[in-house]
Amino acid sequence: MLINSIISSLKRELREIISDKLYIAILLLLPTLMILFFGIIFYRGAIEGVPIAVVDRDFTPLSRQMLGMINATSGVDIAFEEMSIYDAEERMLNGEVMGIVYVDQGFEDSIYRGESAEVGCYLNGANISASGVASRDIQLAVQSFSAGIELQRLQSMGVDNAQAMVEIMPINIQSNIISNPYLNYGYYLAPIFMILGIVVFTVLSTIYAVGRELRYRTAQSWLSVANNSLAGGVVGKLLPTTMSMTLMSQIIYLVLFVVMGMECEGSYIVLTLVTILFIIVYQTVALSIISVTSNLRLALSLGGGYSVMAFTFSGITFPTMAMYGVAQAFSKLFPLSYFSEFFVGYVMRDAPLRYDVDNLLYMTLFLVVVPLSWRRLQTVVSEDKYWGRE
Amino acid sequence: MFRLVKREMCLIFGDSGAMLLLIFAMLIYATIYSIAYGAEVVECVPIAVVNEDNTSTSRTFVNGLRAGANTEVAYEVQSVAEGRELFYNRDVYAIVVIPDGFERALYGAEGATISLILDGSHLLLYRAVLEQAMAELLADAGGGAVSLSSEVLYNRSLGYGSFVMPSIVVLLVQQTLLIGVGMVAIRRRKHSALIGCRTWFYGIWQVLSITLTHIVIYAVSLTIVLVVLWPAFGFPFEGRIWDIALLMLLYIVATSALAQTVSYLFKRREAPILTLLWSSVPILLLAGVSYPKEVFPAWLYDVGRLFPSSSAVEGFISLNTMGASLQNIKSEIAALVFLAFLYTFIAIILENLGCNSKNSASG
Repeated sequence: MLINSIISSLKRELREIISDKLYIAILLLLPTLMILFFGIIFYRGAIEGVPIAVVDRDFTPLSRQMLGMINATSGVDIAFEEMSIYDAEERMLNGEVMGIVYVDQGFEDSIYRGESAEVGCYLNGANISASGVASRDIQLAVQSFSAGIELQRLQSMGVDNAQAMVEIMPINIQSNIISNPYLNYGYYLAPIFMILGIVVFTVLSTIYAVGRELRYRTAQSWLSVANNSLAGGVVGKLLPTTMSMTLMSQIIYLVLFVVMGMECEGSYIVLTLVTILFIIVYQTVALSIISVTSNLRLALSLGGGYSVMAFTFSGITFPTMAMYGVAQAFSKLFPLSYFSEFFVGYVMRDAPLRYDVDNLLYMTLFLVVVPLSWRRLQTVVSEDKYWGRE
Repeated sequence: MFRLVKREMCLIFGDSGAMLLLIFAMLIYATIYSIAYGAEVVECVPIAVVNEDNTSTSRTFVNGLRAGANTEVAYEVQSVAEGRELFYNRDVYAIVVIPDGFERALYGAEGATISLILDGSHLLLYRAVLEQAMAELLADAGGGAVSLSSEVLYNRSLGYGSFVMPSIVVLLVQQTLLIGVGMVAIRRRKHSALIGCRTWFYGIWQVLSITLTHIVIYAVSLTIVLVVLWPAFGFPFEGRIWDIALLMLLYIVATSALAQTVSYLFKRREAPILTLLWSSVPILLLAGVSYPKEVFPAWLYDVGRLFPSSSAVEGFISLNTMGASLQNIKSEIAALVFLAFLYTFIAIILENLGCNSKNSASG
């Protein structure tokens, strides 16, 4: 009976896990540590207090007022006041500031004369995420300072408040942000970073579970415990990894949706079911890798590389649509690409599930590697020439 | 010492797994990541426009979005519902709605409004669309009392690859060393257990010769990356070559010594990859560049300083991308020197302790 084989193999695997610290580490300890780490690092979410330097050569009440408004924004913190642009640039080269605001002499005079006064802003392009925030907040502060000046000027000319506002800002932009409305860095990155951890540990522990039987020449004993049923043996062997990673994914969702306060727009049950499918898909890919290589260490290197690389091509850091064509094609080779599309669409954007049916189908297609590599697996577990490879 | 270097080289070249990690992984990964990030900027983000106003003014605004580098008006649709359908289907990443009466409102007394439906789940796409819309809007608004002229220094096109690749290359050195050295060390120790250890000096020579081997290997890989890959993908290279060489030398010494120290934790050759692979992404984040250090707790950033990669990432970006001098990165240099001494010292102690215990066990 297949079920008996599965249960026998599962019991044997659980005994193996308990007696192998390394196995416990990759199934429970390290994934927990990983979730804790990402939970802490992404918890705050908003980039705040990016240090900038200012050079105020005007040093008048108006220039101080504008710089005060810049400093009052949450994203920017005036860390240094320098005498010259050269000193400020030195600060940037030292890595102490991400931007410089330069106010030239005559700033206040220009405003009083009704001319447009110019403010210089220099940003460190070597760090686009920090300087992006600095740029946004400096721009907003200068715009509102400028609007305030304009408003006073128009009011002094007898224009009423509402009309003055229209003259200052003839077109208003009303932004409606679907998913992640507060543009939280943590919400944007944390889910897929954490899921990547699941991918890495799923692949490694699956390869390890099968590979150690080959490496330490115990494949025969494993199969005999499973009544010589390879299918039962494999299912029983891989179940602890499936269960452990499912548990880890539940902890991840707890951290995301409860601790960090992210909204789960879609159905939680659907998300959980898709996650289990996703874990099984990666297990089957890992099973094929160890079958084909029949070498534990080589399989771990290849499987490890494949799992980590998936992150880059999932399009979370740099969007897949903006990549070269060849990179876009390459991204199709990773189940994580489809899962992250599903997660963003279904869980974050509140898109109905039908928009992600194709992604789920493509992800499921990876299961085809099992029949393709099954024969090879049968060979490597039954012939001792494939065993003991370091 | 030359003999020890030769032996280490033989250990690496005689082991396909170690060779894959210490020699080829750096080049393979650096190439693949360059292909992923080589496109650099997000351009032509497809958007949908709902032009309910359909006047010459609203069409001018749409044409501005069409002509802009960041956006591409892929669809002009009749309703927001149609736009939303395209959005969910990932045919577009934003919807611009110009309401009926836009032109009239603009020239009237009440002011006009444009609605943007944006996607916050991808901040680069969000930013690309918003910037384009803001540019069109400011072009219409004319000059205010104060105008801001912004200039980007160093990575002028704000390329993502140019931003992130220096960090990735630095991290690849550390992670391949941490995992690869662990694998080789277990084989070496089995070998030296047979021949036994001699003196304390032997331990010192042992550690230094392994470090020297890594310097030779990584000097070649890094040269290939910086001389072939960097120009091929147009990544910035503003630094003085000898400054970069010195920084990298210190970094490889510190990292090699760290890897040798960590290798004492492992007894089985599969253990390094099983336990260390996952740490690549967290260590990259701890450097505080690709994920800004302003977002996470300062104590976590300080913990990250224990990894040579954190100082090396900052130093390398300053030298390579910004064209800074060694004077500008003296704190990073000092940190790497400190870590190099610290980990070399620990590695030597552990090497000798390991030898002595083996000697007494065999005696």
